[in-house]
Amino acid sequence: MALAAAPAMVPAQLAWTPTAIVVAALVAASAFFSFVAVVGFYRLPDVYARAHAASKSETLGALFGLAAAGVVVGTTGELFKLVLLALLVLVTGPTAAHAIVRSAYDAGTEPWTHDDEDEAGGTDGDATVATDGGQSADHASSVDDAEVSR
Amino acid sequence: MTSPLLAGVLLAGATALVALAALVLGRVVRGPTTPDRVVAVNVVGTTAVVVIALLSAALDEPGFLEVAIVYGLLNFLLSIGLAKFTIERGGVL
Repeated sequence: MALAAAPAMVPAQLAWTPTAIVVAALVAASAFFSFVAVVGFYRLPDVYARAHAASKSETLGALFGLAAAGVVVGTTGELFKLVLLALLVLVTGPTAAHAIVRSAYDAGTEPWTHDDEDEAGGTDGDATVATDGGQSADHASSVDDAEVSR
Repeated sequence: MTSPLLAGVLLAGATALVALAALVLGRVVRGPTTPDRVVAVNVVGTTAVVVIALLSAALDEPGFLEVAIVYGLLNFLLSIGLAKFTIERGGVL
């Protein structure tokens, strides 16, 4: 009986219109992909994998959030600014992550491999510890050798 | 304008994103390397942009969108600047 009476008691402003359902779905998708990014940040072993989680999941979550705001806003000007913002996030997020990761690679951070799994012992394994004990200078010279031989 | 239900949905989403950004700040604290922290700060900034956009739609404040655009540009500049800085120093800060 309470269930049957409930719809009549809901004010018209609180009705679940199609717009509200779409917005709720987009907001839920945004929160989900942001949550995936957070899980990746805590679970993945080194900076490269974590930047991967940041630049993919987080960008997609941000785009869903901006789409939710775009469905709600009324004027064309606001919609234009939101599209501009979405393009900005889409271009700059992965680019920034790529730039940071490339600087980390040039600075000699060794990517995580399965060989590191036993000695690292956790998700916070220090990725700069190379299995062959190579330092950053050795790493840089080996990169140069590879480029020369190519 | 924005109905109370829509505003509530948007504010709930903004709250969830703020909570997730607070969790990402844990990675800023733990590191262990500087690029980890810079990537995490970049993610927090992106989340802040989305939260500002959601608040703009929920509270009927069109001016917030300009704030979000400027915040996004500064966020990108911060990440690129830190990346270039660490390369020129020849090491990870």
